[in-house]
Amino acid sequence: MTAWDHEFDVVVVGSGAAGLTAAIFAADGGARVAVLERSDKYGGSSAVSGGMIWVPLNHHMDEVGIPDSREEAMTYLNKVTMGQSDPDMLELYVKTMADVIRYLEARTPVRTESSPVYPDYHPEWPGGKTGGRSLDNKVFDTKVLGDEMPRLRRSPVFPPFTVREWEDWGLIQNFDFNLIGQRMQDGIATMGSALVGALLKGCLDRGVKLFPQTRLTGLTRNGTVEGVIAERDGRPLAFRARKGVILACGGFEWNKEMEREFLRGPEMAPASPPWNTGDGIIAGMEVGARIGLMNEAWWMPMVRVPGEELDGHMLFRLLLTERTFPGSIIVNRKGQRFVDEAYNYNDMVKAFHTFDPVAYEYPNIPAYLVFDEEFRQRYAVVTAMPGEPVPSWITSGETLADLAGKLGIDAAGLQETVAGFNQPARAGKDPEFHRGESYYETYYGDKTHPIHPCVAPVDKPPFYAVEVIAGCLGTKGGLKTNAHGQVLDLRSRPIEGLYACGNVTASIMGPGYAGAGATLGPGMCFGYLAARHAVSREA
Amino acid sequence: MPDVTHTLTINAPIVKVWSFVNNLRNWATLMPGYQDFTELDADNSVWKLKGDVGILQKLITLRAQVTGREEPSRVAFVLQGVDENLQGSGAFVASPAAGNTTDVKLSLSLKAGGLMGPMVNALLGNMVPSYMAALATGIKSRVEE
Repeated sequence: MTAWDHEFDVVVVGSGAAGLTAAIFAADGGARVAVLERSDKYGGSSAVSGGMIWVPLNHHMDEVGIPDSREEAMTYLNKVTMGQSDPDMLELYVKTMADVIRYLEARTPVRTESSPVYPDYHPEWPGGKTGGRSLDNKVFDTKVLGDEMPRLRRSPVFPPFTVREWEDWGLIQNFDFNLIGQRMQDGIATMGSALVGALLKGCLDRGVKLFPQTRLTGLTRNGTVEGVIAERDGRPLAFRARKGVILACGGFEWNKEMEREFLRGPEMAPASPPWNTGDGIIAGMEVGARIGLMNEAWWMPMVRVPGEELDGHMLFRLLLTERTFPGSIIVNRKGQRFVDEAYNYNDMVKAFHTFDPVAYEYPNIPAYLVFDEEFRQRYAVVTAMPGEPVPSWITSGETLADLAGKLGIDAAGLQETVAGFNQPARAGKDPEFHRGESYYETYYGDKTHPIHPCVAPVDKPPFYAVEVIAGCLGTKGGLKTNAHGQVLDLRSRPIEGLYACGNVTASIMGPGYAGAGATLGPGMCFGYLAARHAVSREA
Repeated sequence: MPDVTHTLTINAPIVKVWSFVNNLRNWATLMPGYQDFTELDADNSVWKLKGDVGILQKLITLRAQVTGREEPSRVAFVLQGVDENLQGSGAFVASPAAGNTTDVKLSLSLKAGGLMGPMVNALLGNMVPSYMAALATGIKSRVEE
C-alpha cells in the first residue's frame, strides 16, 4: 500500500508542449491535474525549439489561401513514414490535430499563424505542400505568467523573433536587432518558448499544480498504474493519479548508455536541454511497456562553439542556413562531399551514419563545413557575423591545402572536390548531389544571390571550416502507444492507467520528418487524446 | 551599452588598497565566473570568464590593457573581446577618507559592436551591474582581510 504525498486525478510528467497540452485538456475534462518537471524550468525541448506545429488541414491555411485535404496529407505521410508507422495512427492525427489547435486558440493564449511559404520537408512529393501546414507562434508576453515567469525555459539559440519575421528579414544584415534586444528586456517570447508560455498560462488559469525540480523515478502499479514515484530535493514523493499518469518527459538523447545501445554513430550532439535521459521510457519498461523506433532521432547537423554551455552541459547549435547558402560545402576526412548539404536536416544527417564495412568506419565522421571569404563576408556562420573578425573556433587557411592540413583531412581530395564542385556551381548547378533543386532548399537559401539561392563556387581565399556534428533535436523512439495515447505492453495490450505523448513515445512519423512541427504536432495531439481517455476512466 | 559605476568605502588605508588593485590578476580572480588569467606583461593580460549570457553560459576571453596608472589613486584600462565583438573601458579611482579608510569608485563601460550589438547589449545591461557589485564586494573583503 503506497503512502501518497499528493493525490490528483491526472499526473503529467514533463512540461513540454505535449505534457502541458495534456494537462489543459485533462483539467478541462474536470480532472485535478499535476505537472511534474525535472529541471528548474518549464518547457523541455519544446521551449528551446522553433516551436512550429505541423498541422494538415489547419484553419489558418484558409487565411493564406492554401487548400489541403485528408487524401493529400495521407498520401504524403505514407511516403514520409516509409511504411514504418501505423496508417490508422496517421489518419487519426490528420483527423484530430486541426481541432486541437482550434480549441487551444479559443480557450488558451496559444496563438499561431500559417506560413504560406514555409514548406513541408518534401514539398515535391505527392501530397506535399510548399506552405501552410507549419504553424508559427505569435509573440507571447511572459509577464502574464507572474511569479512563474522566470521558470519559463527560453531558447539559448533562437533570439525572440518569429519565424514569419525571419522569413521577411532574410539575411542577418536585415534582422531588427533593436527590436530583438527590446523584446529580451520586455520578456517577450517567440517560437517554442511562446508556445510553452501560452500553454503554461493555460495551465495556471485552470489551477493545474506545477512541481518543478521533481524527477520521475518510477511508477506504482497494482494491476493498473496508480501513480508516480518522484524525487524532489533528494526526497522521494509519491503522487497518486486516480485516473491516469501521462508520461511526456522527452527522449533519451542525454543518456549516454541508451544512446550507445540504441542509436547509430559514434557521437551525439543534442539540441535539447540536458535533462532528457529516458526517465519515462525506463519507467514504462519497468511496468512492462513495449518500445519501438529506438534507433531513430529527429536528426540535425550541429556545430559547437567552444565555451558555450546550457545548464552546465555542452551547448550545440543548429546548422541551418550555413549549409544552404551558396558558397559552402560539407566534406568528410577524405575531402569529399557525401550529401546534398541543403537537404532537410533530418534526412541529410543520415548520410553521416554511412558505414564502410571494409574500412570498418564511419567515413563521413568527422565532417566539415567549408566556405570561402565571399561567403564569410556575406553570411553569418553560427555566431560569427558576416564581415566581422574571424573567431578562433573557425579554422582558416590561405589555400585549400593549407586549410586541409589544419583540419587533418586529405588536401588533394579537398582540392579535387572543390574544383569539381566549382565548375557547374558557376552556373548554379550541382549535378552530383542536386543541391538547391528542391523548393525546401531554396526556401532556406539566399534568394538575393546573383547565381543561385543555394549553389555558388567556393573559390575566394582565404578558406574556412567548422566541424559539423551529427546531432539531433531529440530522440524519436520510445514507448509504443495506441489511439488513446495508452502505453502498450509487450503483447500490445494497454497498460491501464498509463499514457504517453511526445518524444517519450515511438513517433508516428517513423524515420521521416514531414515538416516543421512534426515533433510538436503529434506530441500535442496525443497529449489531447491521452487526456481525453484518462479523464473518462473511473477513478 | 552598460555603463556602470559602483562606489564603496574600504576599511583600509589607501596604500593597502593600492597594493591590491595595482595587480590586475587580483581583479580578475574576483570576477564572477573567473576561469583563467594570463599576464602578458605589466600592462597587458588575458582574462577568461564564464558567466550567464542570457539563457546560456559562455566562456568569454577578454584582452585587458592598462592605459594609465597614478599611484595610489587610479588605474584605467580597456577591454577587448577575443572571439566576441566586445569593447570596454573602466577605471578604479581611490581617495583617502576619514578614519584611515578609502573611498573607491569602480566604473566600467562595456559595449558589444557589430550586427548583434543591440541584442547583446540588452543582455549585458542585465549582467554587468551584478558583476560589478560582486567585484566591488570581493575587493573590499580581500583588502580588509
